[in-house]
Amino acid sequence: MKEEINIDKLIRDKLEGFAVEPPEHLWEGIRDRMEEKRRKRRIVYFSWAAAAAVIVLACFAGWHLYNTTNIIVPDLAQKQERSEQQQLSETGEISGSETGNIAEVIASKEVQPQKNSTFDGWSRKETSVFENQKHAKPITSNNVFLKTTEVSRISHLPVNCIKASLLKGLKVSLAECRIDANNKEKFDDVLSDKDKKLIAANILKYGAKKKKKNASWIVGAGVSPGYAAHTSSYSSEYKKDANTSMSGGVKNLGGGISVQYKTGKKIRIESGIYYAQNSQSPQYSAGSDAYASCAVASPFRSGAEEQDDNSGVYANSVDIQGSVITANSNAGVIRMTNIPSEAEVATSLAKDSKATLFSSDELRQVFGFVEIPFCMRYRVWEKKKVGVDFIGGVNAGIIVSNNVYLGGKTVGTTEDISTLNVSGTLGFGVNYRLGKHFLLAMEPRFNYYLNSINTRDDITYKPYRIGVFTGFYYEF
Amino acid sequence: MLYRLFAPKMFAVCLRYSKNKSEAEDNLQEGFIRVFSNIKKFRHEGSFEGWMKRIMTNVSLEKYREGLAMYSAEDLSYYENQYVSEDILAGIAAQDLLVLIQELSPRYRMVFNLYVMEGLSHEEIGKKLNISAGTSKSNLARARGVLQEKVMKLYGK
Repeated sequence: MKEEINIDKLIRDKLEGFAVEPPEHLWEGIRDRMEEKRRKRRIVYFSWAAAAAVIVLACFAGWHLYNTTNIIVPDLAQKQERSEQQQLSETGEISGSETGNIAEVIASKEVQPQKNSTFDGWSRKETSVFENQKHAKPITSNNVFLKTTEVSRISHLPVNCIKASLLKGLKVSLAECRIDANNKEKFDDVLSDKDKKLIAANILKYGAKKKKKNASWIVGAGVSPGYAAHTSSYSSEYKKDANTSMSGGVKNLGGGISVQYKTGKKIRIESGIYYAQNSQSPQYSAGSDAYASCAVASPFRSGAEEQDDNSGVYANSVDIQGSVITANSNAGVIRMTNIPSEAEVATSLAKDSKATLFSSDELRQVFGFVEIPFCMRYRVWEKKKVGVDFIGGVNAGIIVSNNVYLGGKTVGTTEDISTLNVSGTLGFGVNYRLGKHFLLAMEPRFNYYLNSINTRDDITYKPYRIGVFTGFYYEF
Repeated sequence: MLYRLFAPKMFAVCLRYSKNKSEAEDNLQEGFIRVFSNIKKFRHEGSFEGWMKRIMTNVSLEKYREGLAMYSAEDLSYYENQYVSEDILAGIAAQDLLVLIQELSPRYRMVFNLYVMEGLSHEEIGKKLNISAGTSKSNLARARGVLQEKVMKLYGK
């Protein structure tokens, strides 16, 4: 035993401080690989900066689009009215008394999609029809078709812009790479062929190993078609004057950018910026108090053609103060400043009873949210080209637009809506790999607002939506 | 600079773990790249040289693990129970001893280096090489045996 220990010690002493000069070409190899690493790091920074720039750009685009939307609506409505009046007077075959025909003629003229359509495409089309024709039957099918195609076309615009600028960023960084590779040639002349081969082999080996580890950022953009609805509760006082029957949801479309960062083997954190709309319209039941109490006064019941279904009729009890009408609704008190001309207000002669507003159009309360998510993704399943993540998290939802529409026209806003809200998200992300860096995403998500977006105590209104985020991711 | 100062010693470390000069060169290069990449992470616990040595041994161990499939075990029972005198051992140049160590089969070489030069316990060695402490002990014994036999053959009498 003792001898063994001594032998060990002898050997150790001999070899402990032993040094052997390594060949020169090793240092060159090390230096070259460090250069390569530094180059790769620069690309990552640049791509990250590009992603951030894209987010800012999308934000700005979204804001801009939204701001221009609100301005254009009244102007165009006026313009349309004027041009339609001209058309009416010019074409001899149309006379003022033929109500049905005029409506159809005008509607068919409007079918071609216009260039400067706004995000809320319906405003322009329908005002022209209804401003001129008081009792025309609302033309539903043509206009509905227009609405959906217009909306989807506009919402794709930011997505395409995003993709284009992202690709541009990539092209620049690749060009940078090529320039550096050219400079490298100067060093190669000094080394012998054998050394060059050795260096090349090392670089290849190193590169192959490193590629697997570095996929840590994913940036993507897409749209989320979905279904929006809400949960709500009200005080009985509020409910009395409101047409608050449980509404069905409406379909909506949103979209945005997502940025993911890998923090663990199967875990990613996700953020980004999304635009989404939560909107709803009440479904009217004849049994509601507001409707029944003014049945006698309703012009629609007293002679004009009856509606086959209730969906085109809006009736709610309202408060009139000067030129402003307020009405209780699902999401809160609506403050109407612009009343469409064909809507009628009836007041009962009985004391203490409220007035009722009737309209042949649908009422819609639309809230536009810019949401910033903070989610975690956990990879639950992965096979070949398909991966499935479980997604969960919260979002900061900022209300950027709050409009109430009657028919297609903006009539006012909903009061007491809080600007900053919190919502929770749960969903699944299904990713299909299209190439080395590209993924196709289909992600059904459920988003539910955790706080009531109405700040009043007697109203609780929490919108939710179910959507499928569809888009592309770029991985690097 | 850093490389010029420490490379020779680190190269010797790599030589000990590798089976030939070429493998040692690869390991040294990889090791220094890791040193430069992670230099900010050095936590100043212990000496800088010790930290670098650990990186070199880790690189060597990884290379060993990668190559595990390729080596077959020698029948080394023949080499057991051989003793070499200290004088003879003292007379051997470090470079020659190094060559003998390189000639050991990989597993024995790893165990020998980790125990004798790095001072790890058999448990620790077992964890690093994914073997039991007992296996480590017997490997060490065999490594010693082989070395002693070779020393006797080449430099004895």
